[in-house]
Amino acid sequence: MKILIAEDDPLFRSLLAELLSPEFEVVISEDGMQARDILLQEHAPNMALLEWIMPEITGPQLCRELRAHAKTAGTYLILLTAKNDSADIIAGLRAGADDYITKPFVTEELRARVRIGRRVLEMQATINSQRDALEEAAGREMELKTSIRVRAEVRLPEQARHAKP
Amino acid sequence: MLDRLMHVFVESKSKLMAEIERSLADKKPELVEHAAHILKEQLAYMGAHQLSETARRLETVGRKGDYSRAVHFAELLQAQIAEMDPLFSESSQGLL
Repeated sequence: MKILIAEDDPLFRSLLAELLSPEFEVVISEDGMQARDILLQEHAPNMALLEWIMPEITGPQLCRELRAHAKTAGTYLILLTAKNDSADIIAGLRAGADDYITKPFVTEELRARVRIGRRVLEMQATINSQRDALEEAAGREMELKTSIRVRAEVRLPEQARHAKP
Repeated sequence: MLDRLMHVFVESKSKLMAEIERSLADKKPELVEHAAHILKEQLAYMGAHQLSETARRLETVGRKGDYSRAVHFAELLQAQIAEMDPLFSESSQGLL
């Protein structure tokens, strides 16, 4: 699974890439605009770690934009920041983030939260594929019922004709 | 990995301190905010909490455009970093 790291701080960018690259295909961006462009591309990562304070566009602004766009409405977004009071956390989550990690973070906590994101996305993918299968089955059932009804309508007049004395 | 991260940090902090000095030389204290913010987070992650606190103060006074206090905290941060530099360069213990 791909994950985007949007971080303008070179130290944290390197650290996050090192921590996540054993389990994920890491894609890097150095600012919010670049992150947005990457996430709107075809075959884009469907999970992103977004630093709150970045040049051009902040993490929460980016969350709002991505949630409003059909292509990225379901992208799993984690905000990363040193802001740790509850008002900031609420503001970040209200902007559309799925989770929130404060710096400095504990390495294993970061990995655990990212794995939760992966699990949510995998469950969503399973639900989507089951929904598609159900819709396909419902479509086939409808076609079958229509076909039976058409055959019955053709056959009934014929039977009525043969039944005449 | 620790060596690579320490190398990134040492290189990054020099650039950020140069950015702060340049902003203050141009008498534009508001421009130190971003560099001070990044330094604050990096130093906290390295466990240098006193230095991180100085960077936080620099970030705050920079945001307010307070030139004289920005100069004060920039000089203090520079001195604190200079004191810690041998440790940063020699050791990567306790990073994670």
